[in-house]
Amino acid sequence: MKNLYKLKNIVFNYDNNSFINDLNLEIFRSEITSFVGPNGSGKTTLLNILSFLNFPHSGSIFFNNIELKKNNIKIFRNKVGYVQQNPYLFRGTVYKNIEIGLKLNNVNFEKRVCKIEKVLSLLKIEHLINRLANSLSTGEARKVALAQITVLDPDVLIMDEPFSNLDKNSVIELEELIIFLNKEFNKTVIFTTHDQIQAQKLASSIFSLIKGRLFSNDFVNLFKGKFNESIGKFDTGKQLISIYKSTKNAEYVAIDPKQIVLSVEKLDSSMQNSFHGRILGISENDFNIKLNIDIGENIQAIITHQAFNELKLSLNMNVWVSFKSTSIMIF
Amino acid sequence: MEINKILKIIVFLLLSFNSNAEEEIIFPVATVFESTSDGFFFGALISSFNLIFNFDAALFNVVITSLKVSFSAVFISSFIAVPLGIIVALNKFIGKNILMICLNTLMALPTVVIGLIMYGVLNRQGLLGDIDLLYTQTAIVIGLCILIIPVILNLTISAVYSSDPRLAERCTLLGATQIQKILIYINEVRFALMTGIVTGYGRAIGEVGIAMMVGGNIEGYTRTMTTAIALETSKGSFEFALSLGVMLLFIALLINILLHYFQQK
Repeated sequence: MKNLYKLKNIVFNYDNNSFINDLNLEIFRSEITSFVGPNGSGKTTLLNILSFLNFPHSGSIFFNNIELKKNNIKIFRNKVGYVQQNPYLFRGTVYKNIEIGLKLNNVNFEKRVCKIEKVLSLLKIEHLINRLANSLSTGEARKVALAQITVLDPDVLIMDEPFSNLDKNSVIELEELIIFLNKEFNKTVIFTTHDQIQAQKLASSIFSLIKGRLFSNDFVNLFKGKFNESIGKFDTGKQLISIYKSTKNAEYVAIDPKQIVLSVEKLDSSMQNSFHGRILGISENDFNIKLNIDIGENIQAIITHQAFNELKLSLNMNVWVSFKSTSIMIF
Repeated sequence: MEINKILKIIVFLLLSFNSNAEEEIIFPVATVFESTSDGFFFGALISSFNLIFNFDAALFNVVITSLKVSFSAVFISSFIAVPLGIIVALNKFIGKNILMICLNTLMALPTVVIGLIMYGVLNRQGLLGDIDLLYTQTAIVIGLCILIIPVILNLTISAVYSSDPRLAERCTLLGATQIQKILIYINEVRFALMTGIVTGYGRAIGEVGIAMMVGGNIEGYTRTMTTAIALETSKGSFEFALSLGVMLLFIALLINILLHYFQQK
């Protein structure tokens, strides 16, 4: 598959503090890519770089195999459409907001009208056309911002936390739209989220971003907290987890879902972490079964079909969740 | 006692509106103010209204000159300072901090100093003496531009700084050129910019040093409201000076009402 973006040793600083450090990344054309991470992990900073809004302090970016330079950044920007988490909408009506990008790119009146009509129908926002931008709800404003970008027909669609603060129906509509744009128009879609399940649902490539570091692992079980020295465990606020080394600076722990052992009875083993929980969700694919279990924190375990059948697991069943402290990644 | 006098003035003013405009309205000052020391100011105030409502030619000539030079200066200054202010605010460049310090200093520049420097440059022995600009309305307009460009520039920069930071990002992402960005900002932060322009206008119409020194206070040509006020007061024609003061206040009020109206819209 042909890569669209290639980022090499990217460094981005805020006030001389390294925020994104030595980041390497490849994003493929016509794929849906998702960056998952908690707040403040550098997702928006990375999207600002990918949308060519910010220039990295060091490292190199290749887009369509052409290296990004300060003098060619404007050509690159035209290929990318970026919808920010809280997009800015201009004074005036929704129509004017969608039209402005076309006007700035010197598209003539007839073509403008035609393109706007198409995008309004694609996003199902014809009813908003004469509404003032400042009277829109969060979801409506985000759709208008998406229309403002989509009407320019960019190769890449970048969205920062597109699903946050949306009601269930709006989330479903947006998910369908992302898939439609990807499948029908071959658009490369990049989005950020802090919801692993959302990312898994839509994206073919998922990257985890924690404290400015990028991991190709899918950190399903990522917990924020701090190391409690008095008890020698990592405290997530809802659960205490034994980790293999006492790291005072630890802010996050991630547990590999494939390293989690499930049992009906408590296991007598050397595994330091053992929690009693209840199965909240079960989903399966060709190779394995994913289980969402409530152990105080929501944790995901991936087991084989064979193990699932042997344990005779079912929804709302109580199980024991065990994992070794060495299977935990600390950040 | 004072309240009674004010009421009487109001009654006379109302009567004056109903009277025939062809006839000259004369306020019987003496009947309202019995003692001269007590009635000096109010007497003069009524006489000034007399001049205003009778459309005194000399008075309105001065007012028109004032409006002409101040509006010209504000128009030219806004045309220069607003786009320049947006460019300065949106871009990073070497010496920006020094420029900001200079602009802040220029905001407090005494008008008489501008007048003095311009006099030095424009008089016959000056650097630009040959172009014969001294004691012309053009010279006043240039002086006023020097006075208010830093004001409008500074307030434009502040308006852009205080605008939503996402606006600049949005312009960049939509591929706006520098000129397109300026036009978008003028539209998006127009009320803050208008406040800056009105502040500049207030400074221009109310200044006296420049108009006096490079305008020369020539009757019917370069005599502005402020220079006329200074002259007429020193001549003892307090009524005329006061009528100009009233007109000056009225214009300031009118402009602020208009600004308020547009901001509400």
